[in-house]
This record gives sequence, structure tokens and C-alpha cells, in this order.
Amino acid sequence: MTALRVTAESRGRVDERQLIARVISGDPRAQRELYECHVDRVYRLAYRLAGEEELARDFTQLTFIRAFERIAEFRHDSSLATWLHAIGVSIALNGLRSVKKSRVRDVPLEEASGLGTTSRSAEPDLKARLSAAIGSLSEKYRTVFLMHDVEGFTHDEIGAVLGIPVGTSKTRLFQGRAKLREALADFREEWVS
Amino acid sequence: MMKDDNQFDDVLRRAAQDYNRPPTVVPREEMWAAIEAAQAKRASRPLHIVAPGPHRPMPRYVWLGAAAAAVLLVATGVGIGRWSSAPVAAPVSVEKSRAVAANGSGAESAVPSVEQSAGIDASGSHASGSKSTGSANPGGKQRPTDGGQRVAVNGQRVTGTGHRASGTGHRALGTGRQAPDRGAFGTPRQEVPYQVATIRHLANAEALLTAFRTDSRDAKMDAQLAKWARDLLSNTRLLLDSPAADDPQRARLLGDLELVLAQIVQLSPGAATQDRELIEGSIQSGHVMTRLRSAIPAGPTRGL
Repeated sequence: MTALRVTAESRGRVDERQLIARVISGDPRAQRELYECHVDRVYRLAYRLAGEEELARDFTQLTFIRAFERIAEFRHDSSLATWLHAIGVSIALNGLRSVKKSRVRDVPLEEASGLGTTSRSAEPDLKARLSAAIGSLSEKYRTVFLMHDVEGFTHDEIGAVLGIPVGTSKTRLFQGRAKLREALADFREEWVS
Repeated sequence: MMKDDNQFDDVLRRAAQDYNRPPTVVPREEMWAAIEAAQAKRASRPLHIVAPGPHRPMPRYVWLGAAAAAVLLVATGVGIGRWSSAPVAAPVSVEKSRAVAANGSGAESAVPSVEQSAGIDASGSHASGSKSTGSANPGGKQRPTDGGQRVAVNGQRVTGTGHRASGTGHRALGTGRQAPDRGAFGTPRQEVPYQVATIRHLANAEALLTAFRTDSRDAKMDAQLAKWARDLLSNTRLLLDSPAADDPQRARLLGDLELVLAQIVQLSPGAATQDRELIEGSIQSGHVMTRLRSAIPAGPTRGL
């Protein structure tokens, strides 16, 4: 089973190299093929970070435009997906900083903690306060939390995408979760029990 | 406590799945169209032109090198030109001679004159040199046609006799060449100055005749035209005795022109209409204007 997986992975690597070579040579069909392979995941992450359809589209488009421009610089040190996500996350975070679209998420933690009720039936309140709490996290915690706990990236992938060590990714996730627990502490007893 | 944290984290993780939940349908085609449009726009974007930096003067050694190269180039060109040009045994000098016109006006002209050279073979077939044009002598004075010096209408001496002998003579001298050295237009190099002078002269004559036909109603203009015609007449006679008249057709034209010019010179201010018609008849009967225009090559002749 392991041998089969390794074979499939190596075959995928070869195909990826061939695809990249075709893109570099200017083959438009190869560009489209690469786009189709990765656009869903890049778009999902952009949407998670931006929270708006228009911004997510813009960030995804810019990601692929920049990737096609710079694909000759790709050194195969990581997978193509990791390289694409690194570009996408960088574009999204820079874009969010510039457009200041995180106004909803900029609600301070104290304010977010005061929004909740203790009622178990108030699940929509939990989600609303959780959204506010995630939005109020600083960028480094929120990014790692969303990538790991929401989008399912591994710490290895997060480290490669963000350019940070795996241990740093784990620490940021731990601290991010702790901040969220603290912000939603009044729900704790109710939901844990 | 730790167990509680893990449980709560699971709750938060599940709840966080709804945080900025992306739509199930990814707008692939719209985004791809936007990507293609952006790539096309980028491809058609003009190149960024870098503005030139501040002007820096060239160092002195660059100027010296450039000057030396220019001097070397000119010297090489002159050397090649001298080396490739034909050696001329007999000096046929085309100099700007001061041709004294028939009335002694002293107008300066650039008609080539050929100095009679003692070294020219007198047995040359064209020793007599001058050419009879058969034209009328307007002043009623005799024009010698024999070899030697020639006396113009008013009796003053004009240089330029015997050049036909000299021209033939130096062509025959032992330069070792069978064919005469030819210029750019297949004309013997020695005759090129005469051709240039002839063309310029004919252009001036055409201008004079045109002015005569249009402006000769005014007595003041008659005097000016007469003076102009006098200068041209002397030059015409010089050209008739030069290699420029080797061409029979051109010689006939110069002869007819000489007649017309002489008539204009003799035309007194305020002359009768009959006299003018006589001159006009000479111009028309000989088709002088047409032949003049045919003889003058197209293009500007002033710079010749």
C-alpha cells in the first residue's frame, strides 16, 4: 500500500514537472490545466481569509497571474500547491491590510466576550461570537487557525506556506486556540458539559 | 482541565467551519477569464523606456581619439582619390578666368579657359583651335577663326584659344592609356568642367530669354537685359572655342544662342517693336528655347 502511494506520488511529481515545463514554454492549455488543479483550494483559503466573494476572487486571480509570471522561478523545493498557496496567502494578507476589510473582525475580544449568552439554545450566538473572536485574533494566529483547524492544512504545509518553522506553526495554533477559549469562556461550561 | 480544553476546542473547531464559509460553487470560469484578460493586457503593455541619465561630457582622450580617426579617414580618402585619379600629362587648367566682355564690363565668369601650352604638339589635327560658328557678327567686326588669339567683338583679347589642340594633344600624350579617363557619367574627365560650365551657361541663357520675352517692354529693363546678354555673349563665344563645343548639336545651339544674344545686346533702349519681333523671330525659327530646355538636365542647375 505504501509502495503504491509512493509510486503515485512520484508519478504526480513527474506530471507536475512536465506541467510546469509546459507552462514555462507558454502553452496556454497547460496554464489552464494547472489552474483547474489548484483553483478550488486557493479560492477556499482566500475566501476564508477575506470573508467576501469579491475579495476572494481578486486574491485568487492575482495568485494565478503572479504564479504564471514567476513560474520559471519555481525551484521544486516544495510542491507546486504549497508554492501557490504561499503566493495566495501573501496576496490575501497584504490585500486585507490595505483595504481594511476586516472591520467586522476587528471587534476587540472584550467586546466579543460580552456578546454571548449562557443559553445552550443560543448556538447562533456562539457562531456569531466565534466569528467575531476569530476576526479579532491577530493575523498570525488567525491564519494558522484557519489553515489548520478549518481548511485542514498540516503544520508542515503551514510552515512551508508561511515560511515559518513547524514548531512556530504549532505554537501559534495553540495560542490562537487559547485566545478563542478565553474569549468564549462563558460558553465553556455549557458546551463541555 | 486539559480534557475540557480539548473538548471545547473540538466544539470551536466544528463551529469555526461556518466562519467565512466559501460558496460550494467556485467561479472558475469568471476568474479564468479575468486572468486571461490581465495576461493579454500585460502582454500588450508598452515597454518601459528608461530615461537617459544625466549627460556626462566625454573624456579628453575620447575627443583626441575621435579627432585622430577623422584626420586619418580624410587623409586616406584624399590619398585614394589621388591615387585612383588619372595622371594628366598636359596641364589643362580650368580656372576662373576674368573674361572681359565685349564692352569691357569686366564681369567675372567661371567659364573655363585653357591656356595655350607650348608643349602641345603643334601638329595636332586641331591646331587651329577655334571653331567657326557661321553666325552673324552683330558688331560687324571680324572675328578671326585661325589659330592663335581671338579678338572679341570689341577687339579685346580673350584667352582660350587653341584649347582644342591642347585637349587633343594631351589626350594623345603617352599616358599609356588607350581610352580616355572617364568620369562618373562616362564623360572624359577633362571635359567635365566644360560640361558643367555649359549647362550653367545654358540655364542662364534660358532665364535671360524668358525675361526678354516677358519684360522687354520697359526701357529700363532693356538696359539691364542688354548688360546681361553682353556677359552671356562673351561666355558663349568662349564655350564655342572650348571642348564644350565638341558635340555638334551643342555647338549649333551655342551658335544660335550667340546670334540671339548679339541681337539683344544691340537692341537700344526703347527700340521699335519691329526690332523686338526680329529677335523673337530668331528665337522661334531656331527653336532656341526648346533646345535650351532640352539641353539643360532636369533638376536644379544653380548648384552646378
